[in-house]
Amino acid sequence: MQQETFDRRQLSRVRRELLREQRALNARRFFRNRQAVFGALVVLVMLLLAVLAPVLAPADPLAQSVANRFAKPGEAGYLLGADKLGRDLLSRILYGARVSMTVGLSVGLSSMVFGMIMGLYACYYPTLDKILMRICDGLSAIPSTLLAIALMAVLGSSIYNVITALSIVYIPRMARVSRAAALTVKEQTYIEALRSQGASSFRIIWGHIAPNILSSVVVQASYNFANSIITEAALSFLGVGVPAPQPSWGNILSEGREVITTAWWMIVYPGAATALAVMGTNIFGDGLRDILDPHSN
Amino acid sequence: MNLPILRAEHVKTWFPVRGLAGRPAGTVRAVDDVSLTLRQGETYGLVGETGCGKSTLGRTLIRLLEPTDGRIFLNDTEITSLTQRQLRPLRSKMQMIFQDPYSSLDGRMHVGDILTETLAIQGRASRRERMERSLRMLSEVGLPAEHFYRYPHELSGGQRQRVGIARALLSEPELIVCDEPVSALDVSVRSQIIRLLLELQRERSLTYLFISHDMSVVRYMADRVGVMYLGALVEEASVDELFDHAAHPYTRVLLSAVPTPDPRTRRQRIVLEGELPSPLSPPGGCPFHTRCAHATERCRTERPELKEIAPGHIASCHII
Repeated sequence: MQQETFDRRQLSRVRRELLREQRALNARRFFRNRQAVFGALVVLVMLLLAVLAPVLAPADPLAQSVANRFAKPGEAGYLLGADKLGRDLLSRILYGARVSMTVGLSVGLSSMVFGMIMGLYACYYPTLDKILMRICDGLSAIPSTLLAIALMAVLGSSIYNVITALSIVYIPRMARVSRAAALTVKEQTYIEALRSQGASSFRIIWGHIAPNILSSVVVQASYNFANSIITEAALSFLGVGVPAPQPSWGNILSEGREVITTAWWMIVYPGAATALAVMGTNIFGDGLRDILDPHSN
Repeated sequence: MNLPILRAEHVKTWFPVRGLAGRPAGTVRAVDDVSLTLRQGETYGLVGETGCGKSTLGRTLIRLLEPTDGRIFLNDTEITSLTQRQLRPLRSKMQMIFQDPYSSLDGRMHVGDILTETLAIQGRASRRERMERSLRMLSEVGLPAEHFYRYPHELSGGQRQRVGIARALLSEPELIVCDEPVSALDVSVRSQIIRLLLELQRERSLTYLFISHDMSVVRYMADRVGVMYLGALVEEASVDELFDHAAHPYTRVLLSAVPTPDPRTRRQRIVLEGELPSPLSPPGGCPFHTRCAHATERCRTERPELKEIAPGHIASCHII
């Protein structure tokens, strides 16, 4: 029986202490970064508004009232005014946030998952790399909005198709970012050490390369989140995004365009909401990048 | 004489070089026809200047790089023809210690995870046993148990190198390729790591392939020494024989560059002229003739073979 050279209880205490320290350090790093905190706050508020829209909205976003067409903000209980069918603008913007956040989150997440898988395997298998990267080249040669419109024309307008189309648009970028990051990680000596131990490629890819590129991937996902919000708005504005009665910031803006000289609130409020959401997520992404990768400055 | 543990026959590792638009532009002959034998329990020092192919050779011998040609035997098993998958069970027998202790450890994992993973890869032992063996190994390389949960960035270069050594040892190897294991470390830490390596070798009868460009470290560590120049082995002898009776002009140049601690001793420094020729277009004849002070017409045209000039002492040079 070999004598134990360590005290198990003492060791687990050390572990707990170190974990606590690490967590405190991470929290401090996050809260010291004002950008990240502000961005996270904006995103959090937007998400809350979206989730709580049915509770917060003063009226049904689809309920029409011909008597109150283009009611001014504050008039007849319409806090932000009414549109051409007398629907409450505040409620429509809140419900619009649901669309934007759903699209943003779904596209951010799906582009992250698929882009990362593509990037990881591309860095490991040269033939696959060549094929995947040529496809990505082809897709990114087309301007993103144009590609999205074309895809929507094929798929037909619905919120799910918006998510599908935008994912296709943003996956190549993610694949590129994760491939580039993965190639750097792959050159590290510890990957060679793993190979010398006989580690399987699955273990190397998912156990070591993936966690090490996660920070770049998450940052890119937050940009994709922001970009997909604005592209969704653009698609809905052009009438190929979320179909008409369902409110989205884009189609509210599109209706507002016709009455821009008489009903300013139709443009200003949804426009401000879009701007704030995009700005918030972008700032959050920048902050995240600074926290996760202190060298990028 | 001990049994050979690893034998390499005419090993070549060539890298294709691609120029503009991916056109093949030539081949780098990083290792060009090297044969050597590592014997059980010895330390074989491999020396040569930067870019001579010693690291490439070390990596090829344990098949981290694919040899272009030649055969490698580990304990009489030919490993050159095995696929990476077939090679996996043999991997634990041959490990590597790396030069850069900073990039050789995954910064996202704490020391414990790095060590236990080695055992997980082999698929042996329970979780608890892996942890216990890792902790025991940690103390064997001279690190306190508390370091189990430390991250690499919290450790010094010497401590990191100890973790790297522990990782290599956990799979209970017979052969360890040490790729300049101390050259990235402070001088004060160097001797500690060297002593640790020697101690572990004694306890576990390990065989080391010790790659270095530091002649004094090699003199201290090695039993036999091989000198490489431009991808080829130019001289090989026991350490005393080599340091006392160096035959190849290149070996003599290397030895003359070793600093002596006594400032009053005057040594005759032979300074090499010119640059190391590009391994893309190695010179014809003897690869060293472009920089050799004794080169003759024959050296320019005919490549010298390795020949035995004393028992166990081989060198490739026309003029000896």
